[in-house]
Amino acid sequence: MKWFAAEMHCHTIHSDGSFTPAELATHARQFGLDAFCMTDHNTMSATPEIRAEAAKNNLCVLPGTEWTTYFGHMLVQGCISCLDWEGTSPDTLEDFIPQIHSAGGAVGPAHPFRPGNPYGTGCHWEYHIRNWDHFDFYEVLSGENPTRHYYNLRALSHWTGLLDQGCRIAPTSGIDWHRSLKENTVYATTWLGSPDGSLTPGTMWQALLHGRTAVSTGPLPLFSLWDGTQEYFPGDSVSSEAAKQLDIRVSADMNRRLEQWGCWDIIPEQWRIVGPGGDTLCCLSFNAGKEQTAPLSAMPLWCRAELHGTIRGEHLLIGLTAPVYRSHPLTLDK
Amino acid sequence: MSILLDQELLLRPQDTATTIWLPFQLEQAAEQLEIHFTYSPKTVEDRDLARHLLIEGAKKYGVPEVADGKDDVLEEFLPITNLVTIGLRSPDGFAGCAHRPAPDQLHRITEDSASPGFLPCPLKAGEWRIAVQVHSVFTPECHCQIRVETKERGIA
Repeated sequence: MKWFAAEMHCHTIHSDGSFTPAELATHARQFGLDAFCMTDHNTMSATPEIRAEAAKNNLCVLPGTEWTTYFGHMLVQGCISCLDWEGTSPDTLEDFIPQIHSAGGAVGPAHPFRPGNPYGTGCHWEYHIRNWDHFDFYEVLSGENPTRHYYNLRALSHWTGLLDQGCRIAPTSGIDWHRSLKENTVYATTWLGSPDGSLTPGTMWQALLHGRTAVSTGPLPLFSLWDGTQEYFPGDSVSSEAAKQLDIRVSADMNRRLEQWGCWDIIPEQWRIVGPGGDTLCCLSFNAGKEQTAPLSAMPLWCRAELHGTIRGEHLLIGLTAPVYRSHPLTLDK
Repeated sequence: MSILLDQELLLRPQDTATTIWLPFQLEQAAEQLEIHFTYSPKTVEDRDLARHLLIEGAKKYGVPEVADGKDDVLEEFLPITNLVTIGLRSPDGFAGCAHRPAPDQLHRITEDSASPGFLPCPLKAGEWRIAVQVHSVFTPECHCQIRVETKERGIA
């Protein structure tokens, strides 16, 4: 599995961003990214230009949009043909999603717990969702210094509750990139896993759909479960038989994007393997990112790895991985 | 140039979260569409109103730092602004949107180029529509004007 650093939520002058497409691509490269998603508000008119500019900067781009509706913002990744959200009401958003999926789009709520009017226009997620299985990913971390903010902690808690209900939804982060990044400010990156090591718009989209993601303000967190013959990565399902004998493996790649996060005073201290209810199943020391292992006595419905430590002296979450899931005999895996 | 649409709208807070559709007819294929869109006021100048809106919003969304209503904290969230945006639909469907805060916007669309947010497209005859998206109006009144002009094909 190869992992690529991506920003999943970007704007240009085609909506309310300050960047031209060329500037966005340049900033993305300078920020040590491999890829980004183009998500202007309610338009995809930057697509031809951003593809050309991304290619010039040796970056992969997945075009999409941010449905900037009156009752919440929804990221649509990998589809530029479904722009019309007019007519959505708090009870009807889900009716619009099958056509997005048919057109090849992946969907997820953006900054769902950021406050709405008058703080952020339509920013708060007010949609009543009957079935969260319709959503492919969930922007759990948004904006500046993301793991400090109450709205992201609420998002993490809500997403955890959805996992407990049996939903399989990939966690993502979004700078919600509109303009030059601030000095002395911490930002999260989404890591997208590619089993064959390639990076294309298709593998980015597949990572979202399969749940091969991690988010981190610091090093790339790597998590897998090992049953003696097979390694299960975030997004994978462990069969009931294999679930009886598993080893946890966690490590961190300390070198990727070190130029960016290395100056943010991030000190990882501890791995937590977290399961249903957000409960910690076990803790492992960080030990300079070297691989740590521990037996997992019983595979729960899902479990993920969280990296905790200090950011500028404050004890905070640094990053987390998408879960590995336990196969349910009565449900089809995505 | 001929004027295809020249519409004034008076928006009020109760129009928040609604879309007003303004159709216009293009009688023959055109070379260029020009859309001029303005609204005013942009900013809530009434500080008591702004303060009230912030405190009510903080209650609704649980904004911890505003919960005690301290003035210096509220100050960080000022000014409060109205947000109205426009989108365009051609006879074929979606033709772009300008989701940005500026209260005075001029857009040009031709077959080969378009202002940011809009799609270059053939300006074919038929019914076109402007979507006036009222994301938020906080002032008691907000005056909005939309004018669409066209340059017909073949006219210098």
